[in-house]
Amino acid sequence: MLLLSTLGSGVMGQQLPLMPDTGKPVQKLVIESIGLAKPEGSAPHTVGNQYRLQLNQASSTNPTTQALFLVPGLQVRDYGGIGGLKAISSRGLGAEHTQVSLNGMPIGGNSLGYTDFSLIPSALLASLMVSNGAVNNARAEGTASQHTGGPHIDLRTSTNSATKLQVGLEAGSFGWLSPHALGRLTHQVGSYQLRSHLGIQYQQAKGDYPFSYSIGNAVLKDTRTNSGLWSIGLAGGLMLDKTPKPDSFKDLKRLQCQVGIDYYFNQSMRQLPGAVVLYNLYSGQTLAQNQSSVSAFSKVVLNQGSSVHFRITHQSDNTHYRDPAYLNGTGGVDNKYFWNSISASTSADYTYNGLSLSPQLDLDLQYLGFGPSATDSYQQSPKRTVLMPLIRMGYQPKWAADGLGLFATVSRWVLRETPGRSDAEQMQQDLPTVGSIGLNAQILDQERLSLTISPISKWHNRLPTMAELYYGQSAMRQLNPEKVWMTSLTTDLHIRCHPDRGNYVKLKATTFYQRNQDKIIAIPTRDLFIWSIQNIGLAEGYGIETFAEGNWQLSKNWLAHLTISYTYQQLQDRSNPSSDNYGGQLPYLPVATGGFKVEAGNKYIQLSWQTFISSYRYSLAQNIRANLLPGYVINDCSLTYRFDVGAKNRHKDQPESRFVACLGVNNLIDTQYQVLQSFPMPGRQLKFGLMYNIF
Amino acid sequence: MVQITLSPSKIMTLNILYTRLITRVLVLPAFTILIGCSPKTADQSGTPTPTNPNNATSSDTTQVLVVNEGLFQRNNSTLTLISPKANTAVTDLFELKTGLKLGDTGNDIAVYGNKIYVVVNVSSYVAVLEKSTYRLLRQINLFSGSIARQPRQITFAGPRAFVSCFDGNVVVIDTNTLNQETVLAAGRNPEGICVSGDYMMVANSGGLSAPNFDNRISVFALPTLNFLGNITVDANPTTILAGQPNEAYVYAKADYSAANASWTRISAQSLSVLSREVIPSAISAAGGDTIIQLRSIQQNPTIAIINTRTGTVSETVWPVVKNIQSPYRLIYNNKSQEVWISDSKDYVTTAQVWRFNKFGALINKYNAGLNPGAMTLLP
Repeated sequence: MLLLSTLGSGVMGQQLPLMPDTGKPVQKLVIESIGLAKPEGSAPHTVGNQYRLQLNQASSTNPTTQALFLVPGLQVRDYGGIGGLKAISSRGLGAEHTQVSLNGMPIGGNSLGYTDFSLIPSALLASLMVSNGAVNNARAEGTASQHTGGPHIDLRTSTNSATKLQVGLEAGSFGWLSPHALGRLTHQVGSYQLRSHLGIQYQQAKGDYPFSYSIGNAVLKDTRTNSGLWSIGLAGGLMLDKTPKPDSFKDLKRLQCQVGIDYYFNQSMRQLPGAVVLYNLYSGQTLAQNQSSVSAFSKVVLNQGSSVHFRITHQSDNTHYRDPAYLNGTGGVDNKYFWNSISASTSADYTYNGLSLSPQLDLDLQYLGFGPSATDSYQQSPKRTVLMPLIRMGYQPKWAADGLGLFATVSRWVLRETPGRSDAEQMQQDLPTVGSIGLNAQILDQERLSLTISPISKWHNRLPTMAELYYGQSAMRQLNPEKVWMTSLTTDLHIRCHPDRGNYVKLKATTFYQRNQDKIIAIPTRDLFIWSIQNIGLAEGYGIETFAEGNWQLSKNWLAHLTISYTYQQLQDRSNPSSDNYGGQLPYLPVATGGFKVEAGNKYIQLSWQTFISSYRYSLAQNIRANLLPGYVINDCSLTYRFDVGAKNRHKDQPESRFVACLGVNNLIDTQYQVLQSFPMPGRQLKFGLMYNIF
Repeated sequence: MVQITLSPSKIMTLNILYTRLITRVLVLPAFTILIGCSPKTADQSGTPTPTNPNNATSSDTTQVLVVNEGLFQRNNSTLTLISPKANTAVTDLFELKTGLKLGDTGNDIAVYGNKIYVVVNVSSYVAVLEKSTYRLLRQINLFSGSIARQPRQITFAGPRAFVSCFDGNVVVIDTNTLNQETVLAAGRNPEGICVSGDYMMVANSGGLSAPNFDNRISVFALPTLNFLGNITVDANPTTILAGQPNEAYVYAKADYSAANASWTRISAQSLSVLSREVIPSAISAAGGDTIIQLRSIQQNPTIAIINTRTGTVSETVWPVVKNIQSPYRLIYNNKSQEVWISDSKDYVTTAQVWRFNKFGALINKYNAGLNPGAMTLLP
């Protein structure tokens, strides 16, 4: 097997949104439909950690973040409520390190540098892949600015070609109402296949929810103002695929070729759930956004060892932030920001005799504009150009077959900022060459047992975002990139108990050490109302991330699945030995998180229970009791029922269940908790959904 | 058939028991086995920094109350009581005495009569405590409908308290009944406020509209509360201190650059500027006929002693002051001639309050909470 193909095979599907996610026939019990987590990446395919998660649409109004809870090492920063901002971060790094794509196309791009998961139309998604390895951008995906060294989350729309047209309606607590429609079309002419899909989802929620909040010995009970969310999300794609028949694939004279476009659009308006400040619960802030991504891509496989990829993407984010009633208008805010980006990425693979070489070139142009009423002190329109050449090398000796692989990447940013900044040259000099090096070794490969170890080391940068450089008085134009060095060792153990019945146990454990220099954070400087973005010192630490899952065929018709995850991490401030913060755990980073998910189902009914546990955290860098936020336990459960409507007359290409109903309960025991201080989370929530596959 | 009916309270009890079962019986032991996961915290309240034997000494035992702002939208304002006689500093005094949290962004504190007034900006209320017991007498919420007025500072005259509010008003409170008497319209984002002679003056910073600052001092007559007019000073006036009767001193931050900040003496009687000088960044406090000012905070700090009666200014260097990382607020005890300066350090860690004698020698340092933004003597 060619090394480079194997390195990227877990990601290969991202370029093929309409292809089945696996080459295996779908099991009768449709495991993926009940949201079973299936970490992928048995050696030597993995370059670090990869987790593939099927979304359980019954689980929550936001099944995407719900699924991410069980990915070790990830934290969901949730400001509460259906419309509350939800950002994903990993191992104490900021959410700006997390790269997000939809079917391989970068989305969520904005001047803030991170993706808000609260607005993603989850009903249109079927699964997601989380990669936290050494190479985030293996197939001309993402943008140069997003080579941050953090996790890459690729959201995927359904690839179930049996469903041609689907409509659905969800409703639930807090005025949640969300209809959606999905359509797919496939047309085959000779060896050419045209595939298209389109999905649209509308979401609205009133969002107000009661909460209780400790104010010393007393408990404040009130309703949090968090109303007025509505959004429309749209995702689709069109692809022309020229693929030789499988039995002729070895015919090197025939090309495999794909060209296509992907698109994503989201328009939203919401009231921001402000912090719950004692005695002052009012928040009049609103945020209107429209975000779009349009991407054209091509992939040409010349033979089994050579391929060329190309993708060009345009992203835009228009944001309108208003707080007109603040202080009766005397402090009113009405700011508009317009962010645009054009990114192009091209890569080629060439493999000979086990040695592979893959050069890649990414170009990213960004433009930030300010609305006429923006109160920012910086009213010019900054532009950024990032050029990133990257070379990926791999070697897989013949004698080792699939059992051993070495890889390395090296890349360097070339950055230009206009209008020029006084220390632009310094910033460029501060962008060292980055890269990664790693090894995949399959120590055991038996019928019932396989064991793989993957040591990896990587060095990466994170560019300051446009917001950090240019927004308001807090912006700082002399920021340097964040630098991250991470080394990890991943061990994968796969036990197949009864291979014929599909019973298995998978265990994965990753230990890591990480060093993060020049962290970019906001701190108050002149007074509490004047915060400033600054490069602050050094964070350093280690952790262990464990993940286990088991699959059991309970009987002829019943299947059960168990997922357990646990993360322990000590990432500490090592900036200034004389500071009170020295040696303290980073703010909002739990020392331990974990959870489990139990699922069981048959052809008609599927049950799920998920528990997530977070340990204590500190809301500030100083690890004192006054800054302590208590841990919490959240329990969710869901039930999905598939009605076997029209089974007798069903065409073989039609979906197995035409009518699906689901019921989910989040935070079943109504726990009152906060992920971030002063942002209480909702209590018990219900969700009910119906889906109908028309044909 | 046995039917079991659970009341809501029993369901709640079961919920609590379930949570405890999960967290204590199942989860915590697992965590403990794996990692010994328990928070390592140090509560720093009530423990002053040990006195340096080389420090100066003082026989003055006047207590100092400090309101620590905390951090914006964290609900972590606190009150620290510094007792030089006992050599203790008790942070969390408010919670200790009332059982409640103080709220978000405490901005000012003052003692008037037998009451202590704590102004809490973002929570938008004034907490009134009994001076002798620290018992909470009244929580005066300052809202216009559902909109927070966001009070900033407080001053007094006769039976009235005047509270400047960011929403462009001054709220007048009857100090006997603790009811709101009336609301006076001022400029944009009033901050500093003082009473001098027959006038009440408030500095309108316009700071929330930066860089479009306000530059006016609104003047009101006492006791009629009639608005008399504005005095124009430099942009972004934030501090106003009473001088000689009917006069005041104004510190304007301008655009926050040291080169443009100014110190202006004004007359409320003639609604005019009497003198103006450009000074570097400064924090100031008044006591008797003296105003103490710490200038050039970020570079080479100096202490300016201003005699408001004679108008003389003497400037000196207190070497120890250079060791204060982020001087934040200052008060002056005109009886003992001691100066107290709070140090916010990096604004996100618990702070300290430094006590100096009149020669600039350090007497002691006391631990406080986050961002000690206002202090008052507690005679």
